[in-house]
Amino acid sequence: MSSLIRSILEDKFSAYLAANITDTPVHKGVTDDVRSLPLIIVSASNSKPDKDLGANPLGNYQVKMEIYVYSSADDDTLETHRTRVSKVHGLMSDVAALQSLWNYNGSEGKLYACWIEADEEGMKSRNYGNMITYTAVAVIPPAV
Amino acid sequence: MPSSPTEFGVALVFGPLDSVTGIVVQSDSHTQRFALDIEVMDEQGRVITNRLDDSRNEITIEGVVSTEDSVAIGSKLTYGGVSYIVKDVTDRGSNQEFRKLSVKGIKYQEIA
Repeated sequence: MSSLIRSILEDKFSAYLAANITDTPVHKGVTDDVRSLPLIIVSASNSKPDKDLGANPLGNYQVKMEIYVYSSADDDTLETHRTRVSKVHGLMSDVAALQSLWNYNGSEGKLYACWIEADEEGMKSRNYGNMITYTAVAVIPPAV
Repeated sequence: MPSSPTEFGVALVFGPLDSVTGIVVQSDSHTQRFALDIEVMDEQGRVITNRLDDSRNEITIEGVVSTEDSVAIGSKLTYGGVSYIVKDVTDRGSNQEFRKLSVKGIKYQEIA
């Protein structure tokens, strides 16, 4: 497993969404996958050491997670698209479920918190799209 | 004509004085003062004698908690080579931050 905090969060969150939203493919942020609509993309776009820890962050990061939900207006109604977005909201709001994606003894690191920052909706050509932004605070695995 | 300007570095003192078990120290504040400060004035009210005694070292340490309950009031805490009596511990948190501890200690002149 990568010890990059962005990769860890993308792996965990994308697997979690894929397991719970079975009718829509879930991809990670930067991959060489062939993608077709509808789809969900879980992207850890930015990570930075937590500001509370100043010059001594000890592997603790704040990560900006962007989850994109795209649907084709030719195949799905707007209501279907918004239902898809709502499922992502519901799953991502269950912080206890997100925390349980990490093992209990901390050898995989730990997720402290994850909260929503914004949900932006738009349409381009014949595609509906939402970008839901979260802030996650997590620590990478300890040295072994 | 002056020669080409060249910038040089000057090393300064950076960061907290020491570390504390159970806390990731973010800041500290060290104050030295005299508890006994007696001024004697002459007939015109001007200070002509000042007696300073019973020095105190006071420390305030702020940090993020890495181990809970690692500092207790009434215990001794050695920081920056000085052994303080811990007088005050404040543990605070919010739902978007790490828990933080604030520790205040005093070193009395006549107490080792």
